[in-house]
Amino acid sequence: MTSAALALDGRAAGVSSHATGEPVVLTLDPDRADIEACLRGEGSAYARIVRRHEGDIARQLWRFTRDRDELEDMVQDVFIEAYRGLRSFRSRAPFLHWLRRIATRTGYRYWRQRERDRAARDRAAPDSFPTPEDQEPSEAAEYLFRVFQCLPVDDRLVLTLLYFERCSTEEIAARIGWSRALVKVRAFRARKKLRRLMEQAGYREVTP
Amino acid sequence: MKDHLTYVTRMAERARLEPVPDVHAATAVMARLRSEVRQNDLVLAWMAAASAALAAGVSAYSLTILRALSDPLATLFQMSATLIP
Repeated sequence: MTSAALALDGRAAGVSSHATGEPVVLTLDPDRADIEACLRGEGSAYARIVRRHEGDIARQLWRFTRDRDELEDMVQDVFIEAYRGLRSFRSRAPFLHWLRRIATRTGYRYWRQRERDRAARDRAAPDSFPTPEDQEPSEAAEYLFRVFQCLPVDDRLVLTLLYFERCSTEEIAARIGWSRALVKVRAFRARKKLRRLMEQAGYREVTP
Repeated sequence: MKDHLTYVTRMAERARLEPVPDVHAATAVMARLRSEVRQNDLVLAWMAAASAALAAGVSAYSLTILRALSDPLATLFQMSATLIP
């Protein structure tokens, strides 16, 4: 590659090739280069961005739904929303972090919209507590998804980010837009509700 | 003892090993964006056509008024028409 932008801390710089004297250019942040190309009107640049990140975003949104068609729609919604706000993106943090924030909001909205339509059977508490290590990963994911579905949306969101995504308090605050104190309070309450739910369903703590 | 949380943590660790369904959103996203752009273009085209039609009407009307006003003898003829039976 001999011509492209070297994107480093928002500045472009060229590097000369020893052999030919032509400028040799390294693209350190492909997202930034593609965003700039996209803002210049190059349509294919955004398709490259989508292809680069659709897997990560799908992985995140798979915690919000177990339906493949809905997952596909949600992933599309995330990238459409990101495209509309592309001019407002400030490259202080990686583009993927920004996408993850949008994906979290999309998942949260999806849950809130679905909350009204959900039948009572969807909120049924678990009636057994299988050993996690004996479960297939998809069974474990399905099981935990069902358990979290019994909780209110805000609690579910915090627990999903804490346990499925292994986010810290700071990361959750950044993704949802809550303060760190609020995240801590919500996490505490959500864990308490989860404990009550599991105890009501017959789970007993094993004290050594 | 936070035994129930340990249970959830172990279950979540297991769940994270689950393969995520393949999603190929690029084509659909680009198609949706293109259709949005087309719709916006259509709205702009309608607005442009409507304002052009309005402008044509206004300019035709103002042209007739301008012609009447810029004719120096028009007032005289009008006065004479009222004075002479």
